[in-house]
Amino acid sequence: MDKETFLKSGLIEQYVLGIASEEEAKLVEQFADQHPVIQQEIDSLREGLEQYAKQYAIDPPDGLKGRIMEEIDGLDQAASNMVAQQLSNSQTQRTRSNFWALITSAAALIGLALAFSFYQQRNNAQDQLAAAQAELAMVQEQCSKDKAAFQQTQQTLAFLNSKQTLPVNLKGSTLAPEAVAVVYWNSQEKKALFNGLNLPELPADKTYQIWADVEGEMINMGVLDRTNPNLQEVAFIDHAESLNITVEPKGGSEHPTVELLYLNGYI
Amino acid sequence: MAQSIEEHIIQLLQQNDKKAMGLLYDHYAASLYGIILKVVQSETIAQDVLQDAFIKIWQNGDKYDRSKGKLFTWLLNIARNLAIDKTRSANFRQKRKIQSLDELVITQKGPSVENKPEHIGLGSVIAKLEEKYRIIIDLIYFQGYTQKEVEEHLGIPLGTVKSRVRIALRELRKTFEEHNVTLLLLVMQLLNEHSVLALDLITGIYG
Repeated sequence: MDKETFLKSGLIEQYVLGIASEEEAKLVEQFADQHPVIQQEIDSLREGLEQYAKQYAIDPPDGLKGRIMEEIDGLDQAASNMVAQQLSNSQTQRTRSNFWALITSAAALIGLALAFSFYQQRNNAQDQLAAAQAELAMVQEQCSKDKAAFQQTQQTLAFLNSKQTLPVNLKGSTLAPEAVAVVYWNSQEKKALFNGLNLPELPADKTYQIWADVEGEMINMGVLDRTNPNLQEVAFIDHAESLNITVEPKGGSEHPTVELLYLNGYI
Repeated sequence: MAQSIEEHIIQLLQQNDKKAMGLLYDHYAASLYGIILKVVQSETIAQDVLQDAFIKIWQNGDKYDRSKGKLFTWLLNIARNLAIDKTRSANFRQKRKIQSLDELVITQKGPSVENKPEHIGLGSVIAKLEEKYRIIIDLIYFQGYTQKEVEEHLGIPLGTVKSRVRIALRELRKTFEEHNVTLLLLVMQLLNEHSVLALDLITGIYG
């Protein structure tokens, strides 16, 4: 390949970017040795790239320098200790066999130290991995909880927005003129959700209970939890004409106490 | 003229003098850290990699061969290679995923030039490099992609990738050469007005 073809081959650019293969890099270096023009080309392209890279310069956090210098000091300390030990070992040698025994034990010691350090490193790595996995599991669990809650909310919203869902407004009787509640009634899905907007507080031994009136007969739809801030699902009763809420002893009754009718509304 | 700081550091490094590392840190840590951060995109990981890089520099100081390139080229390649290796390590992706939840990463931010006075006037370089070239340089140089991988990643033909690589590097060179001419003109103008100040500037840049 001649100089001009080489300049156009794209190899120089790959070399400068560090993506040339080993053989390609060798080839580029050979050409650069023979042709100063190519060396110049490499230098100037590399300079541009490095100046570009320097644009991203950002000061590392304070204290990192100290940490790094300490680390380097530590490396040095370890190295010089080893040299010192080897020196003193060789000085105390008396006989040939003694010398070899020392060398062998030093090697064994170094081997042990290395093994221990690998062991520790492995333990550290395992700890880190375990911590990361635990964290990941936590995040995943939270995520699936949130997802379930979200789906629940979406379902409720879809139910409320459905054309088949009818809001039944329940108004307070003379016993509780301020009381207001809504039951979302869907006869297609046979599902009813209760929302107690404003129900007067009751003594601890009393509870609200809701009933469906079907051709004059009151059918139990469930005991209501006044403190529940969410929509509460109650039994859906076919052919209900009106919905009625009475006050009953705690736990609910089999038949409504009609004298204590607090709210009602027609479907 | 006095010995340049680069010469001085190389000499100390070859004598295994630890002062070299302090000087290296003061002069190059910001550039190296910025590049590493650009690659690994996490400050904690970048700090680890910078530490590894300095240890490697210290341990291989005697292997630096000035005939193969400037000191900075050597440093930058060590830092960049360690950073790219890190992004390929097995648990890097997982670690990144978890960290990104509680660590705000500054990666998408452009290059910071404000705290490096020697780069005054260069802030527009990246703006000048068109997006299509910048992406390719970033993928290859900072993310360690091969040209083939760039082809797959961006869905553009290999031939186009190669020609964009060539153009991008030439554009970068042009921009910095223009910058040098501007500096030279500035120095000459200063020479006419304040010769002492200009001398300071020259030693500051080339000293």
